[in-house]
Amino acid sequence: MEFPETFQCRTGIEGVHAGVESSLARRVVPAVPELSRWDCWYSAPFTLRNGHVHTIAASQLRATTGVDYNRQLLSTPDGGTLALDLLVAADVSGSDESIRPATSHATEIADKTRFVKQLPPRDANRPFLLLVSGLGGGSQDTYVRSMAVNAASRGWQVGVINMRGCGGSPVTSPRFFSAFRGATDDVRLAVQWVREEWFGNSSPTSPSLANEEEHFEGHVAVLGWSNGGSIVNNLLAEQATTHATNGDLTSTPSSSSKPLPWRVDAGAALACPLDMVANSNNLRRPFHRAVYDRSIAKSLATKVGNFVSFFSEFDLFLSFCCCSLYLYVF
Amino acid sequence: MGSARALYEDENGLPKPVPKWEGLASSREHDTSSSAAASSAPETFIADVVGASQATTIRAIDDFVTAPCFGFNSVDEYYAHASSAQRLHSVQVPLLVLSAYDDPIAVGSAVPLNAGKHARKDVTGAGAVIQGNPEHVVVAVTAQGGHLGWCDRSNPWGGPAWAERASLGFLEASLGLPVGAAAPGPGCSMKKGLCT
Repeated sequence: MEFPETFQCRTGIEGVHAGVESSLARRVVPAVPELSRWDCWYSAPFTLRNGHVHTIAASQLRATTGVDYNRQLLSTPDGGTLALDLLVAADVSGSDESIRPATSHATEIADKTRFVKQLPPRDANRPFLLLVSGLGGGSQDTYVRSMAVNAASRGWQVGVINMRGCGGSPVTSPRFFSAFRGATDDVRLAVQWVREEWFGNSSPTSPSLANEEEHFEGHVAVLGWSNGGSIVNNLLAEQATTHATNGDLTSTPSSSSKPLPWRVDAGAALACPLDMVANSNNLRRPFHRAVYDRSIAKSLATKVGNFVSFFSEFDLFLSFCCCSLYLYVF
Repeated sequence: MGSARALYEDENGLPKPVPKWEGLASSREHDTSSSAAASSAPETFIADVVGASQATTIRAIDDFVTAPCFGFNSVDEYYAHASSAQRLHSVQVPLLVLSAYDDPIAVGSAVPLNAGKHARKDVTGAGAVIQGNPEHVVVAVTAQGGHLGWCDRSNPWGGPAWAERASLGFLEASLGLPVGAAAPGPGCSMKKGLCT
């Protein structure tokens, strides 16, 4: 396999964009066939060659594996509540260890999302993946469940952060979330919790300081979609700048060897609006406003107030029909 | 589950001031170029929750609740400040930014700078990102995929398996872990011409 082929992008758009001199790309991209070989590259089903049809069809028709989560409610300093859902099990047929147990005390919120009291096993030698869904979404979303299950099958330990008010989490603060301020604080809180709970034994307080360097510290990666992608990007930028130290004024440069409690080791941002001003302007166009803006806004509005529209799903379905009809007929 | 609306109203159902994001009072803000960073004097705000709970656009909700809560004077100021492209040059760990060119919502994010006729001057896209930080950021752009679509050819209504393999593979490889089951997806059996 020739590595540089990935940098020769088709039509100047499609492919992996990285400086040819980038050591990260040289190290990482060849190891991932999906990113380094055109024959493993993404190609859409023939009927979904239109971006609108693809988006709406995926949001309406996708059905993915059912999961069991253990929900941890983390209290934030300002009195808010953050629901962190830890993947316990998934409905994967043909795999002994992943079959969902018939737990009697499980509560179901969506048809394929159940909450159980059982905690997932903790393995300090396996990496941990934290997922952040798109605007107004949560751990019950089809693409979130699918990613969680796929990651778990590859050896990750998985948790899903529901931003405040999302994923059926209790609302205990007047503060919701944004794409940056506040949201990154909340994700850092979850990362810190995971580091303490999963990899806490490797903390420097351990008496076996001699072995400390050999000890696996634990990898935590964060992956976000759309608005969650913005949060991931902003979080990683802050980790290298304003939140590069513990913020503890008593800490001296020598203590910088101590790992950052909210350290994230790698990240991924999928379908992330890099330019939110351009994005918002785009959503003002009539079709976008009628279909996408309206359906996402409704899901958000119900989180703010007790106003619940029973017609939002139906509206979206109608829009979907009209849209497909329009695109196929004309 | 209690409604968030009750948190914004007093016992008589009248709007009451609620605290803004407490980070406004600290100096740990990444970007102080925004005028918002200085406007930390009033630490409370009154949100139009009635408006927000009946809003039909994301913009309206951000205008009623998000922008004032996080210390912005307007929703445009919030969007400009929260856009992540402007601070990706700071990132110091491996980061994959995966976008679809035909994404109708996160529009233009997939556009690289040197895209010839596809270039869009009005949008900060992927090109600007890798130019600023090639050692830590890798951008991948698919021609199709929609917004949160990436439906698979072999199983369109299952999970977006390709996007999952690509992003999990990236995270694994960048952390020095063995890459997944390393089982290439069904798409890999189809040979297509290589781009030259």
